[in-house]
Amino acid sequence: MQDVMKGQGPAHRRRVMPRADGGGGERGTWLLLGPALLFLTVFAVWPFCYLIYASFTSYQMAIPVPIHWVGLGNFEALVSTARFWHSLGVTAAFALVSVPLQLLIGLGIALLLNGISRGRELYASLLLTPMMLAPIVVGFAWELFLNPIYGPLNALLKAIGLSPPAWAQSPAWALPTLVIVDIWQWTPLVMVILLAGLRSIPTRVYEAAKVDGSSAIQTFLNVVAPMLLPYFAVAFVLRFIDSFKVFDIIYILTRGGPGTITQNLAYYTYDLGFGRFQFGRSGALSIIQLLLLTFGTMLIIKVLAKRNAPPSAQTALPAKVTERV
Amino acid sequence: MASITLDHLNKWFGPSVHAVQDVNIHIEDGEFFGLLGPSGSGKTSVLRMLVGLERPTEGQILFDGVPVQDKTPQERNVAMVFEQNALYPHMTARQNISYPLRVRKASRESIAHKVAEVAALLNIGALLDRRASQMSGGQQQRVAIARALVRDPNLLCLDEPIAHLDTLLRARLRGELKRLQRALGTTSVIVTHDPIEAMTMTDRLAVMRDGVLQQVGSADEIHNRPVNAFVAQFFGLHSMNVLTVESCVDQGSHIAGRLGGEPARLPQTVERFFGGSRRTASIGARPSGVIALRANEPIPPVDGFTAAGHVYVTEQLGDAQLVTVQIGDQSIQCLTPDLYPFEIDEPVRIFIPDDILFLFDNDTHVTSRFASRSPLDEVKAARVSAA
Amino acid sequence: MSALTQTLHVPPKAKIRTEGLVGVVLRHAVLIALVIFCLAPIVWLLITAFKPYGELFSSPPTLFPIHPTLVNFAAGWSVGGGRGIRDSLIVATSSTVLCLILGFPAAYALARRFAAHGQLSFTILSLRMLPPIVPVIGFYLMFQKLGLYDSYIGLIIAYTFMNLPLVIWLLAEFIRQIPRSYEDAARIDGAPWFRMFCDILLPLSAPGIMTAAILSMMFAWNEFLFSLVLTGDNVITLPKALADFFLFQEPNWGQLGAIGIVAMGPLLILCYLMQRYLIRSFTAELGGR
Repeated sequence: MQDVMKGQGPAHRRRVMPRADGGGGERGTWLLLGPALLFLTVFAVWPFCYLIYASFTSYQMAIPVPIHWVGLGNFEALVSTARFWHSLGVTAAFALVSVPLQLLIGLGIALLLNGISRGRELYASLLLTPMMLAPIVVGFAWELFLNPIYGPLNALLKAIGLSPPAWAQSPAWALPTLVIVDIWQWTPLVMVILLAGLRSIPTRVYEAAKVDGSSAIQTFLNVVAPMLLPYFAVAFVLRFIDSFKVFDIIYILTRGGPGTITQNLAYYTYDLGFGRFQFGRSGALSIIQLLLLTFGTMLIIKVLAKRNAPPSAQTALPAKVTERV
Repeated sequence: MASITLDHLNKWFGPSVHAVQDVNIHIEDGEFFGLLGPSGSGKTSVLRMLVGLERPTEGQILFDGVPVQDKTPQERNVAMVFEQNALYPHMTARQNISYPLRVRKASRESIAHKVAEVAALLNIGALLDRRASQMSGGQQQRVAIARALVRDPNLLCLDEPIAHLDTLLRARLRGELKRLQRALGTTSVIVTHDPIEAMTMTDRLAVMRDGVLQQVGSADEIHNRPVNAFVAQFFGLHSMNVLTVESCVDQGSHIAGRLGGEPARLPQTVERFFGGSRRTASIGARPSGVIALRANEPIPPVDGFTAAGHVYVTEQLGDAQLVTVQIGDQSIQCLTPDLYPFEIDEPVRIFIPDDILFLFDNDTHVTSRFASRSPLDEVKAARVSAA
Repeated sequence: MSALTQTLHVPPKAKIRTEGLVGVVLRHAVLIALVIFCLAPIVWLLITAFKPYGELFSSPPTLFPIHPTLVNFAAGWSVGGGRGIRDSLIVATSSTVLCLILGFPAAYALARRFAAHGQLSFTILSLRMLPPIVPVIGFYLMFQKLGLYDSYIGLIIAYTFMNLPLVIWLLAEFIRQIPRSYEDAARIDGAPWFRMFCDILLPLSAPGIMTAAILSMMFAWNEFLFSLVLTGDNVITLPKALADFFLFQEPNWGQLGAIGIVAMGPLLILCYLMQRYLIRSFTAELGGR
C-alpha cells in the first residue's frame, strides 16, 4: 500500500493545488470565470475585428459601392487633413491643460478639507455632486447657466459692470468653456482620491515631523508629498484616460462648433462614423486614439512609477476610486 | 469518536514547498493531542488535512483504521474551531450552532434539543439570540465550540482557539477546554504555537519544525527528554540555554574549555565527551538550573560547569529574577530567587551542576546526553518527605 | 480624525487665538465659495424647473420664480421624460442584474484562486479604460449584422460589456476581504459548495454587491454615447431623450429642468446616502495598509 502511494507521489507533486478546492478544483475555477470571460471576450474581440476590418477598407455604409482593401490609406488620408491635427489639439487641451488643472485644484481642495476638523464629510459630499450627474444633464445645466441672454452668470457679470463673452457660442471662448465644465465636473474625483491619500497618512508621521522640528511647508514637501505620490499617480492616470472620453458635453454645449473649433478626436470619430458613415476613416481614427492613449498612459505610469511609490497603494486604489460616477 | 493514524503524510504546495514531510502519528481514541510548533512549521497544514480542507499529496489518514483522505469533512464527521472569525457574522449564536445540523437536514425537534443540550454544557444559554458582534471574544469562542460539538464529531480540531484572547481569559478557557474534553471523551487535536497551552491541556503532543515532525510524547517526556536542541529550546516555560563550548587542550592531557572565547571549567562528563577529536559541543541547561554567583561567592563543591561573565540585563518576574549573563559573545539566562537582586554590568560567574546538563551533538543537534535530574527534583523530594 | 487635523494645523498654543481662528474662518469661507460654485448650475436648473414658460426667457432672469408652477413636471413627463425614464430603467436594471450574475462567480474565482492583483484582473480592468468611442463603432457594425440595432437587448449587452469589468473588480476586492475561515467552517460543517455559496458567501458579500450594483446602475443611467449610436426610435434612454429634446426642439428649459431633476434626484439622494459609507470605507481601507 505504502509503496503504491509513494509511486504516485511525484506525479501528484507536480500539480499546483489550489488552496481551497471547494468549487471542484481548477475545473471549478474556470466554470466560475467562464461565463464572464466568454462574454467579455466575445464582445471585445468581435467588434474589434469589425473595427480593424473597417479601418483598412473603404467601408462606407451609405454608399452602395463594393468595399475594397485600402491598406493604410485611411490613416494616410487622416493625417494629411488639418481637421485631424486640430481635433488632436483639442484632445490635448483636455489631456494636458484640463487634467493638470484638475490635479492642482483637487490637491488644493483636498488639503483644505484635510485641514478642517468640522464638516469635512458634508463639504466632501456636496463638492462631489458634479461628478455624479449625467454629463448630458451637466451639459444643459451649463448651457442654461451660461446663456448670454437669460442665463444668470452673464446677468450677474453685467450687473457688476463687466461685458462677458457668449461662452460656448463664441469662437474664442468655446473651448475654454468646455475645459471649465470638464474641470467643474471632474475635479471632485481628484479631490476625493487625494483626500483619501491624506487621510491615510498616519498621525504619527505628522507627529514625528513636528517633533523633529519641521515646518509646515517642509513637512508637506518632505513627508506628505512622497506619501501622496501614489494617489496622485492614480488620479493622473484615471483622468488622463478619461480625457480621451470627453464627448457628451461637447455634443450638448457646442456640437463641435462653432464650425469645427471644439471637435476633439472622439467627436471627430463620431462625426466621421455616424455623421457621414465613413466607417473606414472613423475606425482608423479610433485606432489612432487607442494607440495614443496606450502610449500616453504607459509613459505617465513609467515616469511616476520611478519615484518608488509603494505598490500596495497604487494597486489598491483604483478599486474604490472607481466610485467615480 | 475514533483513533487516528497519520501514515507517511506529505503535503506539497506547488513543486517547491514541502509543507509537511513524512509525518507519522497515532492518536488514541479519546486522546487530547497537541500539535506544537512555530509558525510555518506545518502544524496547521496537518490539521487542515485531518479535517479534510486539504488533500494530502502523499500518505494516508486513517480513522479507526479506515482511510479517509478522499472523504469530505462531513463524511469524516469532524469539527473545527478556528482561531478568529469563528462564527458566521450574519447569524445568531443559535443559528450558528444549529447550522451543521440544518445542513445535515436533521429534524426541527432534534435540532432544538441538541442546541439546548450543548448550550447548557457550555453555559451559553443566555447568548443564543446574539450575533457575533454582540459577544465578547471568549463568548464567541464558546459558541464556536458549541457549534463544533453539536454534531457529536469523531474528531474535534482546534486551531489556536484561544490565542487571540487576553491572558486571564486564556488561562481560564485552557482549564475549561481540558475539563470539557475529559468529560466528553472526544478525540481532539489542538494546534498551537504556545508551549504552555500545549503542555497544560494535552495528554500527548507533537513538536514540528519546518514541516518535519521532531518529537511525539507527553509534556513531561518532551520537557525532560527533548530529542534535539530545537525541541529543548522551543519547549518549556523558559527557553533552554544552549551554548557552544569549545575545547582546547593545554598542559598535556587536561582539557580546558572555552565559552564565547572566555575560559570555562568543564564537568567531567563534558571532558569525556571531548575525549576524541571533537572540538566543539553544545551544552544545554534550563534557566531554573543555572546558578549565578557573585564575585565573592564560592563555587559549590560539586561537579559542574563554570564560566565568568557579567550581567547583561535583569528582568524582574515578581517572585524571581531572570538574569541574562553575557560571556564573551554568548549569553545565558538564569532564573534566580529574588533574594539579592543583581545589577546590570555586575561581574558574575555562572555555575551549572553536571546532573542538569544536556549535551547536544554540534553537527546534528541531536541530544547526546539528557540531564539526570530536573531542577524541580528538590521540590518533589521535599513534598515526598513531607508526605 | 481630529487628532490628525490637530497635529497638522493647530499652531503652537500662543498663536492659536489669532492665526488659528483666522485660518479656520478663511478655510471655511473658501470651501463655502467652492460649494456654491459646484452647486450653482444645478440649483439654477432646479429653480428653472418651477418657472412658468413666460418667465423662462426674461432678461435679466428672475432669481426665484414669481409664479412657481409644477406644470413643467407633467409636461416634461409626457414629452419624452416618462419614456426615457422607463427605457433607462429597463436597460440599466437588466444590465446591472446581468453584470452581477456573470460577475459574482468570476469575482469569487479571481479573489480565491488567483494571487491578488493578478494579470487576469488587470486585463479585465483595462477593458474598462477603453474610450467608449472605440468599441462603439465595432458594436454598431456588429449589431447591424445581428439585428440588435435599436433593441433593448443590444443596449443591455453594450452596458454589460462596459460595466462588467468594474463589477468583477470591485466584487473581487470585496470578497478578498472576507476571511477564508468562514468558507472553511461551512465546509467542515458539512455544507456542499453551492449551499456554502448561498448561506455564507452571498450574505457576507451583500454590501459589496450593493456598491457594485449601484455604481453599475448609475453608469448605465448616465451613459450617452452608446445609446446615441446604438439605438434609434425604438429605444430612447433618458440621456438620449434629453439630448433630443434639447437639440431638436425649441429648448423649453422648464421642462428640461423638470426631467433632469426627476432623472437625477433619486440617484443623487442615493449617492449622498451611500457616500458616507463609500468615502469612509475608502479611507479606512487605505489607511489600514
